[in-house]
Amino acid sequence: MQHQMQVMDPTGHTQVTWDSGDTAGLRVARETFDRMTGQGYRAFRVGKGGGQGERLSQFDPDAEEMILIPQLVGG
Amino acid sequence: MPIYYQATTAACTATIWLSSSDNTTACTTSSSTASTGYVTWYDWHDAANVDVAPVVHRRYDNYRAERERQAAVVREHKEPAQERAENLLLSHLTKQQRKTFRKNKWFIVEGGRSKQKYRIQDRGHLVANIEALDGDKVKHRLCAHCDLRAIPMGDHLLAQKLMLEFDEDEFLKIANRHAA
Repeated sequence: MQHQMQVMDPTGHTQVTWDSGDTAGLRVARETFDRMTGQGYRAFRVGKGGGQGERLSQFDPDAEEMILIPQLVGG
Repeated sequence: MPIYYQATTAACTATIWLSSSDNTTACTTSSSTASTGYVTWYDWHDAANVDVAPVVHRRYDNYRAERERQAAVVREHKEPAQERAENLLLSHLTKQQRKTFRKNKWFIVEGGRSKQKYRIQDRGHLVANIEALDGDKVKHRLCAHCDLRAIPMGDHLLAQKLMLEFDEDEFLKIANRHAA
């Protein structure tokens, strides 16, 4: 099973992918998650087509897809 | 999160906060001749001619460099970035949401906790682009978004959608409310 994480940035987003059992890819994804959430990004587990999802407080290696969004501010 | 600076001169003791979103500072003065009010950090910095502590210069320069770097990346990748962001947004909309977004540049989401209906609009800007609905009527508008130069429009809309659906209370704490 392929997992992916989209990190929003000026290019649209950067995609990090890893397969089940891919320990190196999983490590990169976890490090990216921790670094970006440490910078204030919020993480969500999502399903395609507007399906179910949830806010994540920590990395979920089993999530099929995650999206990381930058901090929001009131305008 | 604001960054706080303290700068002291003969004329003015100012506590400055540099917002990551709008570069607005508040300058509270201790001088009877100086005014109190809101100015932009840039205006204050240019006009005050004060000996601001080096750390302020360094942090401001770093902040400005990062903003310019992000803006340059957005300019360089603008069209592909807009397209990539919109594709990501569309892939996370329901069939009905995609239909209204393609036709009218808006889609409706349901608040994850309250079940309140919100209309998220792409109006070419993000000023109060979310409407809280009561049937067909607009109760009020909400304004909260990411750094305007950090990500393309499609990403802003998707970020708003995710927050409203899966972290509604936090979004409502952040967002400013505007009359309909």
